[in-house]
Amino acid sequence: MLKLLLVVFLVSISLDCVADANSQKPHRTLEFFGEVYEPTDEKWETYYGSRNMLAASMSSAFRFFNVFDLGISVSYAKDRGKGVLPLSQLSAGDVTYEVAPVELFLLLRARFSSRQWVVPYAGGGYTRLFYRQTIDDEGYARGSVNGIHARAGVQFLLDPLDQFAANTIYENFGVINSYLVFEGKYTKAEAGNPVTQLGGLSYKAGIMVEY
Amino acid sequence: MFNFTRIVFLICIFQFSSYLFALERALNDDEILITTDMSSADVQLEIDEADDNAIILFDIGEYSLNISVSSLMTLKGIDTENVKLSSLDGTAIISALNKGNVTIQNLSFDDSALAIKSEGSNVTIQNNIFTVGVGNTAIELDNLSTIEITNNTFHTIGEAVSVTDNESSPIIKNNIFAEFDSPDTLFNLVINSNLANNCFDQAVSNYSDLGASQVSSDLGFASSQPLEDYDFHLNVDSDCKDRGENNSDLDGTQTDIGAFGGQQTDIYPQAVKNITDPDIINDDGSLASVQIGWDLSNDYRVGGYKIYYDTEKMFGANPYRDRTLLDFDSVNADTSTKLIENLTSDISQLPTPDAPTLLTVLPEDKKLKITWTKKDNAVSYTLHYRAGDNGVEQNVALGNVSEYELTGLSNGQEYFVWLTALNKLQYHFQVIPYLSINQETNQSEALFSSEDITLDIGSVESSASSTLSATPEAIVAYPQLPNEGCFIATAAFGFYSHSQVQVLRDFRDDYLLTHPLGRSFVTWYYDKGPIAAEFIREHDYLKPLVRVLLFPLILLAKFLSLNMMIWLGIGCFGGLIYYYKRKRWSKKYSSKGLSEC
Repeated sequence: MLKLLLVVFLVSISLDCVADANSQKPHRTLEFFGEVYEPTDEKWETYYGSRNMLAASMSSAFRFFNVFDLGISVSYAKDRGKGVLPLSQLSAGDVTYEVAPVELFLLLRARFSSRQWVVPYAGGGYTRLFYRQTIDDEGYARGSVNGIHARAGVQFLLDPLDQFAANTIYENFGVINSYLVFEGKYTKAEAGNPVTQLGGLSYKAGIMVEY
Repeated sequence: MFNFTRIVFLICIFQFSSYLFALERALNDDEILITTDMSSADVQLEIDEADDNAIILFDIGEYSLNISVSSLMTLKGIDTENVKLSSLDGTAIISALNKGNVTIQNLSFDDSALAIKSEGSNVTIQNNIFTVGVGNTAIELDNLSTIEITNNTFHTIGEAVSVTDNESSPIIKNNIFAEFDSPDTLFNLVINSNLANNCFDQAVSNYSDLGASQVSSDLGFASSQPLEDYDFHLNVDSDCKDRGENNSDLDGTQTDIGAFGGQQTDIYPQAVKNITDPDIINDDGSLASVQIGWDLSNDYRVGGYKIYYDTEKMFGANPYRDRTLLDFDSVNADTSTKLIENLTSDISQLPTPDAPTLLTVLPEDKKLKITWTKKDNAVSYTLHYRAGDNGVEQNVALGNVSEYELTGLSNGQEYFVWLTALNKLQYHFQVIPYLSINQETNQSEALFSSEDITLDIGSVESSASSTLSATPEAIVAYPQLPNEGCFIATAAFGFYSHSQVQVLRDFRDDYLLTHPLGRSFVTWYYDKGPIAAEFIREHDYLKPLVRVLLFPLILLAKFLSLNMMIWLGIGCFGGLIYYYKRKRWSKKYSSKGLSEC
């Protein structure tokens, strides 16, 4: 699979490099993702019923040297589960866990042409992870911790699928390219005493536009 | 054997046929019953498929509808005040289209921009109640409508009748108009000569010929409570009583004005209000006398009350049930109490239930969740509990349930819990008014009844269940994360759920957040606290010092959490010390010849 992607990537670069000489270069990107967030903590399923939770995120970045994106990303995930009684260690009450990581990132996108079909990318950066745990009828704990993250993915150019629509979007909104994006992300952020790992793996799919 | 089976089978068939026959007989041939579980589209379908001259009969209840009628038919409610229609989408509740010959009667139209829109000829609107709301229109007539609006009550409305062309000529007789926005907007393009024998609660001088109408600030409704509790029947002093056109009331007198006059009025008074808890006046162990009271109805047609009673629940599940087999006593219309005698009160034959089986006692934050299995013959349960081994036993009376949440407990305190089951000899009572015009049949009784009033005559109690114990404690979420509230204490004590931090958190919730000054402090602290907390976290050597500094505050918070009796004890103890000190001081200085001051 990786070999196939590599071949498609190289072919798309070789075909488009010459034709792209006069193309307009985008300077900003905007991404919208739906994601499945899987906390690293192994006990998660015991208290929240499943290994993962649904999340949504968006990011905006500034592009420089045509291949680097420096940007900010905001995500939000929510899960419902049970609390615990510390003395008896019984499961009790209902708990809502919410987490909202805010990330500063730098990405390297292997994008050499505006008509390149497949663009792999990778990067990472700083994470400030905000959390809130609400125990029904009791109260809540909230806070935030520092962390880091790494992300990598592949984006597929959508414009050739409907060039007329792509032109219309460009004329009306200034969007130069649209991509379908698949991404994996790992976040590391620790909190509490004893230390609890709040980070985890995210599997993301979404849309990216360059303008 | 074969013959016996065949006979049983035939009997079953016969019984089932009889039931079907009775059900069919309850509805007339051309009646279609509409019930509250039907949607607006379902009702419309029934109307569309009905034959000419069908009667669409609305059961008691509330409906949200928009329906249109284009055939010859009657739309009718079973009990005017208890069949309530409102608009589903803001348009007219009922549209009578151009085919005409539609009768709309015995219905209540609640808050809606428009209740009835008529585009047909020969439409009759009679014995309805319109409470469509301020600024809204009750009836709108289009396209040469010829319409008769008789014996309706309009209350809290904008326009009563609005005609959109000059050629429609509604006849408006025997109606009550009350609490309308303005006389200028009550009727729109209505020809004066068609107004007759109506009642108004304010002057309508811009209509020159009102034809023997009444104007009175008090129109004499049976009950003038807030609108949802109005009883639009008339009281005996009402100016609208016996003032309508024709002698067509059911009692043979001159027609009453309003929704409950004329031949087509329903014959059901409104349910009795405020039935008091019955008192046992006398009980010799085998027979008891019980007195029950209620608010008298002001509906002048009420001829008396029937007081139903039974050892089984009567009306809770079905407020419209058949009452023919129930025991009752009767009183006349001006009596509001009744002594019911010779009720069996002997509980010696009452079976004692088995002890309930206590299943779980689960601790939560300041409460316990308790479950048990129900037992035969038990009609209620008593929950017993005490704090610790030596606490005072407390009891909670429960209904016929199998779970309970015991709240208001202290975290960290062990509680012991057990149960007993009770079988009770109970009587259930209901007071139903009936009309004097036809008091020999059930047809004249109020259709609707509220929940039964229940009286416990005596009870037998089971032995106690097994005892279980549990200790309530604060629930913590997983993972256990630091909170940026109680920041300094959390930083000093190390983690969020430390018991001392919990004391301060309880102090915040129970005292500080209950008054403005406390709330201001909490707001300020939430702004500044995290800075100090961060500093303490980064400098471990500060933590013991902060814990020592917080100690008086925690002590104060604990003291404030004590109950009033302990505070009184502390006060008395302090007072005694002060008294003895003062006495000793007086003795010491008086012996030296000094005055106290």
